[in-house]
Amino acid sequence: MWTYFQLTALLAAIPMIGGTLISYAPASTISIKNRDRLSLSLFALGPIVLGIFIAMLWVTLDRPPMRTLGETRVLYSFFLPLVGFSLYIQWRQRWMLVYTLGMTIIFLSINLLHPENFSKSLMPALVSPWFVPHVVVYIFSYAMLAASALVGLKGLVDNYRGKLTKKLELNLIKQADQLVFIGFGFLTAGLLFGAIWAKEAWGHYWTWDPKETWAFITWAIYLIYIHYRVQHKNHRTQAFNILVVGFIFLMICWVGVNYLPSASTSVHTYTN
Amino acid sequence: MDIKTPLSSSIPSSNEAGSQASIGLQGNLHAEHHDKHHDRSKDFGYAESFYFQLGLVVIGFSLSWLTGSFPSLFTHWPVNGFLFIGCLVGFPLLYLASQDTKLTKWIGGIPNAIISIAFFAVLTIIMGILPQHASDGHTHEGIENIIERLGFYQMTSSWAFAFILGWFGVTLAFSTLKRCFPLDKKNSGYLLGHAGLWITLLAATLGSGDLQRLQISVDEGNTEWRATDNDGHVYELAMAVNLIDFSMTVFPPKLVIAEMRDGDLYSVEGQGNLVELNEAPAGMALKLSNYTVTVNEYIENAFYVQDGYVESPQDGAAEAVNITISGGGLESPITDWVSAGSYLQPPSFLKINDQFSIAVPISDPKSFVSEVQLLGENLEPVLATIEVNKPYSYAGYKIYQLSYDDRFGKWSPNSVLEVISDPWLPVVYFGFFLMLGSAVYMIYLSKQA
Repeated sequence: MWTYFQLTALLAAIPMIGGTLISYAPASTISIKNRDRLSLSLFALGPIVLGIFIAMLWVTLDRPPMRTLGETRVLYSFFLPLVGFSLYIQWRQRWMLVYTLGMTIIFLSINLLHPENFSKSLMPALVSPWFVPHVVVYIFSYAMLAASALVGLKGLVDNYRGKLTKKLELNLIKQADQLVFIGFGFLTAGLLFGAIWAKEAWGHYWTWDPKETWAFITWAIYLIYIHYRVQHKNHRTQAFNILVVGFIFLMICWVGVNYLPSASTSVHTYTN
Repeated sequence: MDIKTPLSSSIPSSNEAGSQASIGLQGNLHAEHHDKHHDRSKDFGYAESFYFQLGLVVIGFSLSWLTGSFPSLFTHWPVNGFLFIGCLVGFPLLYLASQDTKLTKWIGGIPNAIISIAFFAVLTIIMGILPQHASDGHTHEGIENIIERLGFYQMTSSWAFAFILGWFGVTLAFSTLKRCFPLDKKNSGYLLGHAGLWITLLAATLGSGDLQRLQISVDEGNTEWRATDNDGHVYELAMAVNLIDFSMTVFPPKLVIAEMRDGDLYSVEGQGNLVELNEAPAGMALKLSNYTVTVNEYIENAFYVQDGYVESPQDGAAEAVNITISGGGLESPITDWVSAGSYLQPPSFLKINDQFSIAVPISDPKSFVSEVQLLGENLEPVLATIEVNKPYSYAGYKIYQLSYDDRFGKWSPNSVLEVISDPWLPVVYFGFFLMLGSAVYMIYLSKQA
C-alpha cells in the first residue's frame, strides 16, 4: 500500500493547489459564488484522497495505521486541510488555504523523502481500545494548534510589514482563540486518554517518560496562552508570539523527542 | 510532596510602582495598557511571583546540593491522608479568612498563575532534555557532578521541583477557590478544569508513596507468593500465583537484505530491503530489493537436520522458510533455507555474495499471555488470563504481564508479572474526569470565541 503513496500524494496535492489558486482568481474572470464553489470542491478532494488512502492502509496492514511517525504524518496531512477548509468557510480568508496547503505539502514531502517499509507488526502494548482515540485526538489537536501557529505567524509577519490593521488583528486573534480552545480541549483529552491507557498497559498513568514530559510542556505553554489572553486582551502581538513558540515545543514533543539525550528510556520512540 | 508550602515571608517586600512591568514573559508591554482598570501599582503581580519562585528554586537547588533528594515524608499513609483532608479543608478556610487581602488576591491571580506555569514548565524542560535516572552512587566528574548534585538527573525528587510543584498547587487551590465563593453556573467550566487539575496533582503526589509496584517471577507449573521491588527487597504477598502456561505468539517472519560487517550480519536500511511474509506464505512471489523471491516451503516450528528443516513440535523449534531468489543480476537462481534460529539452533542465511545475504530477523511479538491460577487468603481461587494491556484485578492488586525469559523466546518457561497496588487511583481518576469535563466545555466554548 505504501507503494501507492507517491501517487496518493500527487492526487491529493494537485487538486488542493488548483483549488487554492482558483480562490485567488480575479473577480472579473469568474463570479465569486462559482469561484468559491469550485475552489472549495477541489480543495476538499485532498483530504478525501488521503482519507481513502488511510482507510486502505488500515485494511491492508490489518491494524490502525497510527504506529509509525510516517503514518501519523499522513493522518496529520489529512486533518490539516480539513481545518483550513472549515476556517475558510467560516472566515472567508484565502491565506488560510495557502498556509494549510503549504504545511500539508511539507508533511507529505517528508514522507516521500523518508519512505517507510510495509509492516503489519503491532507491539502488544499498542493493542488497546485507547490506541485509536489517543492518536486521532492528538493528531487532530496538533492540526488545530498548527493552524493557530499559522494565524500567529500571519499576525507577526503582517505586523512586521506594517500591514496589520486593527480589524485584521482582531480577526486573527479571534481565529487563534477559537483554534486554541478546540486544540487545547483535544490536547487535554488526548493527554488523559494516554494516561488511562498507560495505566492499563504499563501499570502507571504518569511516569515522566520523555514523551510525557514534553507533552506536559506543550500543554503548559498553551495554558499560558489561554491565561495570557484573559489577562491582557489587547496585547495581541505577544499572544501571537506565544502561539509560534508553543508550536515549536509541540514539534519537539512530536518528533524532536527521539533526538534528545533523554529519549533513551522512552516507550514512545517509534522504533523496534 | 508537601503541598502546603508555607506562604513564606520571603515574598519580596519591594513593590515600587511599575516594578512588575518589566519582568518575565511580558516584557514592557504593560507600559502601554492597563487591561483591568484599577490601580495596579498597589497589587502584587508578575515581579513578586517571579522573584518569589526564583527564590524557591535557588533555595531548592541549594538544598539538593547540600542534602540530596527531597525526603518523601509526606507521601505515605496515613500522613498523606491527613494532609489530603487538611488541604481540602484548610485551603478553603485559609481562603475565606483572607480573601480580601492583597496576598490572597495575588496568589489566586492570573499573573501568579502564568509565572507558576512557566516555572513548572522550565524545570520540566530541563527534565525533558537531560536523561532521568536513579542515582547510581558513583561520583561524577566536572560538569556532570554539578548537574548530578543539583538534582537535575532526578528532577522529580529534587527540592526545587517539590517547591515549585507545591507552589503550583497553592496557586491552583486559590484560583479554584476564588470562583467558588459565590458559586455561579457560568464558572462551571473554569472550576472543572482548575479543581480537576488540583485534585489530580494532590492525589498523585501525596499518593505517590503508596503506589506499590512489585515483580513476581514464576516458572510454569510453580506457585509463587514472594515478590520483589525495584531495589530487590522481597515481600510476601497476601496471594499466590500458580503459572499454568506462558505463551507468546509472533508475527509472521520477515525477510531482509543483510550485510556482513566485521563478521556480523546487519540488516540494510531502506525501503524495499524488507518484506513481510503472511501466515501461509508458500507459493508467494515477492520483491526484495532487486530480487524476486519465491517461497517454496514454510514451516512454523522446525528443526534443522542434515540437509534442511523438518517440522517438530519440540521446545526450541524455529520458523524456517525455503526460498528461491532470482533476478537482480544473479547468474542463476539460488535456493536455500533461511531461519532466525532459536536458543537451541543457530540462524540460517541465504548467501547472495560475499557481502550480502538474505536473513530472517527475530519476529516481532504479537502477544504475551500467562494462564494463571490466583490463590488469595480468604478468597476463592480463580483462573485468569493475563495479557499485556489486559491486567487482572485480584485481592486488591492489579496484575500485569510484564516480561518473560527472553533467552528462550517464545519457548520461555517463565513469566514475570507485575503486581500493582495504587489506592489513590480513584481520586486521580476523579480529577481526570473533571478535567475531561472542562476539555469538552472548552471545545463547546470555542463556538463563542
